[in-house]
Amino acid sequence: MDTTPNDFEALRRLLKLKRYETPPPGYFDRFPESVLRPLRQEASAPVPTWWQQLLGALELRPVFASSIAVGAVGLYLIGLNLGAGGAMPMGSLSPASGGLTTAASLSPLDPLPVEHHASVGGPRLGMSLAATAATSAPPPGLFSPGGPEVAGQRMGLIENVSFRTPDFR
Amino acid sequence: MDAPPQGKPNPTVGEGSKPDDLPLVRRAQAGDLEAYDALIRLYQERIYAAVYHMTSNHEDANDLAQESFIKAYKALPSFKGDSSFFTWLYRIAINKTINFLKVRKNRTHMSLNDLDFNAEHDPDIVALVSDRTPRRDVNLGELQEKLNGAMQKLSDPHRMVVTLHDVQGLAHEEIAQIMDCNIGTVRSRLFYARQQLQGFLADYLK
Repeated sequence: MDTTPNDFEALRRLLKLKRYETPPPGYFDRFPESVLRPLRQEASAPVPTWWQQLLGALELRPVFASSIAVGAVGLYLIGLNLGAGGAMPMGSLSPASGGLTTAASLSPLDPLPVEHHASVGGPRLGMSLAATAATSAPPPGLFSPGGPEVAGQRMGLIENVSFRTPDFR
Repeated sequence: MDAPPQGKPNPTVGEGSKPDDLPLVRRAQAGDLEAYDALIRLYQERIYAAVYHMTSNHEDANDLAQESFIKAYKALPSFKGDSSFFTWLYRIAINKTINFLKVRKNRTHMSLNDLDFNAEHDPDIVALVSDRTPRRDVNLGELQEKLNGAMQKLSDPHRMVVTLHDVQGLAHEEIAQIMDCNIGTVRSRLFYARQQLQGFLADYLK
């Protein structure tokens, strides 16, 4: 491939014309400022707080924002469901209303408010603590010294009692 | 290899020289906008001219040159000095321009700058419009328009090598660095682009 200058001399002289194409007068005096102005504005802009950064991120990522919104609504609905289906309203949790009764709130003359619920997994929410204690007591003999497994060994500890029968003769 | 064209001194011609700009670059990397101002003043005419000759549109060249300098400032922390700042800056401007041209595709709208009055006194230019030129009725304005029209017919890489070498005077090695290709590719593109231009402008070449 021959690329000697003579081959394209006329063309190169013609291309030289392009060097004389110049922008309007004063253009290069104003140009640096047009570059630096936005850079200065960016530099002087206040640093966004974490909250603004979060909002900015949400604006840029609509999927992320939507998933957060769905999650928040889901949590709210779960809470609403729990409140309506199981727990009693907060207003009914005072001793006067009889909803939640603790041992401390009972007078010595009050009968224990034993309630029976057909619960499977344990006592239901709203059941009185006293009733809970009554229904959740350990099986008889579990903590007594004379449990079934040790009954034989414990026999020696029982004092011999002698009975005297009255003589009626 | 062709020697860079030796025309009259012109601020838009690169000449391949690079002043010692490293202290300014280091200061600009530290956030010194005054130093970056000095760098802009050092290279604005060459960057603008490169983009202008690629687009043949002053408004587009203005926007692209501005965006290139802004992008370069933001990317300064990543500049390690492996190449010269000049080459690095050129690469940013050229890549930005090529991306712009891809979007624009063939919707060329020329908005040409006026010719400097010195053009009329350049002997090479005068020779083109002399009696020896086949199109004797041509004036410089028309010649400028035909030349830019022919440039726009070239593919982007071919237009780029002509711009960087024949118009701006960069050496083949520098062009290879800027375009991220080898010198052989630059030479072959240059040869092909000149052939094409010669065909497009046959009526205006003696």
